[in-house]
Amino acid sequence: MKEARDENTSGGSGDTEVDLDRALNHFSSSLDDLEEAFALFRDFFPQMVSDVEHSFTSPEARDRTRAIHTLKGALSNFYPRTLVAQLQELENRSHTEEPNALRSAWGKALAHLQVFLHQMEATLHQTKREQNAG
Amino acid sequence: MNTQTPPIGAKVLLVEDDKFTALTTARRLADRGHQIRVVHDGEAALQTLEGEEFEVVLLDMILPGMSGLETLAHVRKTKSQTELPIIIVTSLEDVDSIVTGLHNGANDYITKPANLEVMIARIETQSTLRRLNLESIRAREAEALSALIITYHHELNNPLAIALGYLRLLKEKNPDLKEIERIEKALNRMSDVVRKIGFASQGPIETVPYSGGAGKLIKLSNE
Repeated sequence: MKEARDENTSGGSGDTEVDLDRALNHFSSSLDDLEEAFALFRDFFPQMVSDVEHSFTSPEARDRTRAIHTLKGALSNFYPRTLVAQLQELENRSHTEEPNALRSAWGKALAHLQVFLHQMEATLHQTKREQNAG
Repeated sequence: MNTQTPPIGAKVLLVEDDKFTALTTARRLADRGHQIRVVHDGEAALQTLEGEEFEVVLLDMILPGMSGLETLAHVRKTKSQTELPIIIVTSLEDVDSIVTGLHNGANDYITKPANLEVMIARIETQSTLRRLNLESIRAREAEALSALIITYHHELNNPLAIALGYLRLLKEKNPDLKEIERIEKALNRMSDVVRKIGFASQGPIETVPYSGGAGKLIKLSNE
């Protein structure tokens, strides 16, 4: 179970962070692949956010669980560990808690998500520039 | 996207409702030489598996409608772990799904976010195991069939030779009896078939459709 130990996410909340080494490793050290996947994620991101927000109007808890789970799963390809942990906590709570109780946590997660997207984009841009220059 | 040498490609059915994950996974696996078909729910997976043969299924556990575990249970009603390896894909925290899935017919599991190299290694392992298992089953079937043919040949040939011998004695005593001639003709024909069955047991067994119903006949020839 080496994989399980390595990929264990930390709990709690904190600043979103970019772990470029980990993300690159996930994409077989190919910056092009990582960039392409991230661009694709950005394309899908508005729909995934909309699905989560729409799920808050659903009477079914499983709709919220699934929407949050999908977003968390897609995001986890880029290894923002605290953000993934935040969404995991939200997913766990979504099984039993009412939508109103989750909204505040979702709002915070969404704000962190936006920050992460900008950070990741900037990091990729910078890394690409350095790679081209070197 | 990737410059590594593609391995021998496996035909993979990817069952994943998240379109982003499905698209990125499919692209990356296709880049590495695998043939990928994507469906987004359990019902579509079952429908696809009815009409098409796959070497490996990557099955997400959280799906809309029929869950991954339900889909797995449906598939296992008709296809064994040897015929169709299924790798369940789930989040690391979902230990229950991993354990239940493995107990209910999954061959292996991958946790999300799935590392490409790990995913490919597991697909290739399952695909290779499937091929070796099927080859072994076919070899055992061919061996059993060959033994059956040799047994029939041997067990029929001996009493037939005795019957023909006594018939010749009868014929010497009753040279004008037409019935003996007819029996001899029928026994000679049977003897010819037994000889051909003997030839069939010596080489690769060819079959032809059986016009009298379902199933096949062994093709018989003189050598």
